Amino acid sequence: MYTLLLGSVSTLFASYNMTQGVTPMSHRIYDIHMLMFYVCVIAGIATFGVMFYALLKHRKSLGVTPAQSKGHLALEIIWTVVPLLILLGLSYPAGKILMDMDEAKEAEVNILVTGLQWKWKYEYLDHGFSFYSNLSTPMAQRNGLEPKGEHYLLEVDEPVVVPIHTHVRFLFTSRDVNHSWWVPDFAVKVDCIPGYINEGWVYVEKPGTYRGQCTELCGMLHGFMPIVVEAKTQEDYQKWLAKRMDIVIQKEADRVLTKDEAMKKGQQVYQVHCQSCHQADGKGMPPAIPGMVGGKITTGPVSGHVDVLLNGIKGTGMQAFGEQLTNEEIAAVITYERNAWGNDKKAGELVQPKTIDQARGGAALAEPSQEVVKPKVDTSQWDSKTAMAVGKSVYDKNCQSCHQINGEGMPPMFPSLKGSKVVVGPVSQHIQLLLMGVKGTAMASFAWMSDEEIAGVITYKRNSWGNNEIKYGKDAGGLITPAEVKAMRGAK
Amino acid sequence: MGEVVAKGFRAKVTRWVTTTNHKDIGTLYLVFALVMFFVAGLMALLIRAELFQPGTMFMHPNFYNQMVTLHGLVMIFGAVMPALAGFANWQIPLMIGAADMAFPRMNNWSFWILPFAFGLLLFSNFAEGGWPNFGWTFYAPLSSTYGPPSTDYMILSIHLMGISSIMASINIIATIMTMRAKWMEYMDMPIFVWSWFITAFLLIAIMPVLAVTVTMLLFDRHFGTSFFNAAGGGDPVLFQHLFWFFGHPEVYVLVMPAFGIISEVVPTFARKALYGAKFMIYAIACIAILSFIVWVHHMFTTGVMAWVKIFFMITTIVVAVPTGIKIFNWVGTLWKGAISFEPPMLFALSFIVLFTIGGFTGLMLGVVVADYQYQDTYFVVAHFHHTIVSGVYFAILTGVYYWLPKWSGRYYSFKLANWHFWLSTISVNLTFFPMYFLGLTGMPRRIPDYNIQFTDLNMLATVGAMIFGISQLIFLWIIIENVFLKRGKPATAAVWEATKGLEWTVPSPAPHHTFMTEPSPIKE
Repeated sequence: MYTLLLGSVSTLFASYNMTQGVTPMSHRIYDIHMLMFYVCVIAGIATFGVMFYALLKHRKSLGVTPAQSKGHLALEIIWTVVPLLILLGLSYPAGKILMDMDEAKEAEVNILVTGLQWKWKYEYLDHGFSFYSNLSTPMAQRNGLEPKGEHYLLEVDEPVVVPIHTHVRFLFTSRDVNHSWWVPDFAVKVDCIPGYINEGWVYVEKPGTYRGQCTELCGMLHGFMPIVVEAKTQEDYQKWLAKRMDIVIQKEADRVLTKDEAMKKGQQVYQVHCQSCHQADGKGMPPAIPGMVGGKITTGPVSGHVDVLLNGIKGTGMQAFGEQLTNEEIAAVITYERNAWGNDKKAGELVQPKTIDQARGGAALAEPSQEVVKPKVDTSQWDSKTAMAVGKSVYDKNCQSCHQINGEGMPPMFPSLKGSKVVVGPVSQHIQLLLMGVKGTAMASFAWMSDEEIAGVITYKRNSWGNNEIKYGKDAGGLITPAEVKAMRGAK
Repeated sequence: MGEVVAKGFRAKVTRWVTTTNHKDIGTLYLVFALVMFFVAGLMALLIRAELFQPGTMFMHPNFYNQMVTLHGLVMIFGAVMPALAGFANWQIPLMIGAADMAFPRMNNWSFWILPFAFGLLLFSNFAEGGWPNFGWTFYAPLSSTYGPPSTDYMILSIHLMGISSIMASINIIATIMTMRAKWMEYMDMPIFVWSWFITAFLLIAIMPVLAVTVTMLLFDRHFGTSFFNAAGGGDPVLFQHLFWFFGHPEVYVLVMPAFGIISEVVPTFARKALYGAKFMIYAIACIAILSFIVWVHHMFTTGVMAWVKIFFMITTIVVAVPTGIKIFNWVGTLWKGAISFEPPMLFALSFIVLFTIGGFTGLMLGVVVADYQYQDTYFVVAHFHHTIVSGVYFAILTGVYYWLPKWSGRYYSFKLANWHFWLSTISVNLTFFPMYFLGLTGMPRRIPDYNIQFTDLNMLATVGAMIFGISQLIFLWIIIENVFLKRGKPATAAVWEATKGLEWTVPSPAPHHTFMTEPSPIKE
């Protein structure tokens, strides 16, 4: 009976206490938390015990005469030195855990976590693919139109997946403001700061789904960027990985959308990415968030609308969706915005993915006609024109987000490619770098790309932004063939 | 010299705008603080109302962030600091036997800047995008690149507050150093004077750092610099170092005068001298020095080096030693006293217990690795509200209930004050205790909506906050009744049974001008 009662009380306490978590570190942190808690409880009982005894026994109403003591030197020394020793003693185990945590291990999986307003991007550095993870709780639940689910605000469209019994190294950075990635069950809370790459280690012992949230105020929707981690057995993880790689390799088809398709898809995209600010009825929340009904942008020229979607508006909450959404998604959402809420009377265009693709090329590259920018290029004839076209398309998809459209990167995190040692140096080293990546940085291995793609993108980099033989000597520039890449793969 | 009598509305306004009298200015500070307290308190209640249940109740997330920002800024800079400055103005000259503050005109100016500073902040809602929305810590780049136009108003407002604080501090230091009665040595000064003396130095050291930080922010926003912008070679973490180099001592700026008030009140109602008075002064000085070398404990998750974290962990938890000295000595003062429980004493005792709990959780937060689980969760919210609300705010109430009869010449209703005490003490714990558990079970701070598992505790906290908010209306009524309606039993010069000190030698209410000639020492 008593054990039962005791048991239920302790479960009750546990349900209001810090989680013990599922990693060796989280257990140790839980222990030090409890140690500190008990030390505080004991100190509290001692201090308040004496205090309340005095309040009960030494009251004026009991007719006591006050003592004349004004202090006691030995007592002062005791209650200075004793707490000092206890506290310094307590800092030892805490420091020990910290040093163990800080120790670098051999990472088997490396994941770059990028925080951005208001979602997470997970990049599997060993496999060269990445995806965004958005809140998936429907707006209707937030507005109380539908009952709230168990994982209300703690569910995402695509969770990050890690294998168990593996040292996983997370790298943290941000693309806009500070964020902080916290999963209580891992006892990992690391700030994501633009220009910094912080590190956190996870060694999960139990498969399962673990949830957390952003813990650094990062703007309007700070409360709506949850984290979901699925820890899988090694076998399940490999299966997931294989499936995930397939998606990456699939090329985006050069589709032509019908209006119905575009509207349907557009609405879906709108609900996930736009609605939280611009509202379901498109009215926004002026003046901070402009409405879209009959708006200057949504009923103005298509090119302006596309530009806002791709590049965002600096200094406002409107972010660049260029690399978060595919051409098809952007075309669809623009079509939706130009046709919904009565905007079809003023605008009403059907925008195709091709238009977006062309806009991405933009004015930054005045070269060839828009035709060659298409992903499908005949590579049977490998000449410099083909190589540059393939290269540009690969660059835009895989390199530009870090190294930027003008190749200048974002130093110190992402080096500039303009006249960089590798890009104007020997070709073999350049190929090597792409195949292997650079350990400890965000530069992933791109070995999963085809020989043509690698040859193309290297040719492109070595012949753009003023990188050429005339300026940098005989190692620079050049036309790289798929065969050279193939040979390097063998050499490795 | 008699009471200043002003007839007519215009004359009344002119009298209060142009006054250089320390008592008038003290009153202005206190009234201003009271108004700001209710403004910022209302914001807190709106926040709690939104958090009553999961789901969007009535507040847009952006508005929620604006409330969080303004509640913090207005409470700290508009309510607590001016209230403490009000105490300094009223009490320091009275306690050291000075006729007024050292620089009466500057004193006038340091107060009258404040309404303009807060006018700028509160009316910045008219700028496009509305009020600032990035928390009172205004971390870059959220406030630089991404901040709304009203950020510039906030920057200007903070500059004004800083100027006001620095002038007030210079005035306090000059008054204490040069205007004490000749026979009063430094170690003879009442402990409240000592606490403000040290606080004023602290303020002069940190306010320029805040000014520099907001100026850098302004330059980043408008003049193309990149102090805090990584893409331009700047460093967002630098902002946090600068902010917390100001910010941590700032919280001690709030707490130390509170310590001073409590150290005056406890001996009076225990009818015993302050136990270990010298050590109490050393402890305040020690906390002031330590406050400059603990700031990184706000930044344990930013990726600073492990050894740096260990250094700051040790300095942080060592702050508990001088704080402990203070608490032990208050208990020592109570021990074998003849204790009575008038309203100021009730609040002082409540302060000692609840501030200590806030201190304990501060200790837990200081332990680096455990901090990874507490940082930026409701655990932190509970911790600093326990120290600031049931700590500093309770100390301010202690001080008001203690000195109000001296200021107005009338006692207030003890019955109402007791109601105020019990309702406040119960509801403050109902508000903030659940927040520790919210934090431990994983609720981040500064979010407008939450998972359903956090519902019960949030409801409890909201109910507590509403009761707490309404209870403060009792306090407002006590002030109105006592000061404006002039009701209540006339107070004696000594006011309380066992008061000691120069301020109790002048009549109640204290005449407009006191100690025009130097008072003689009080015989023990």
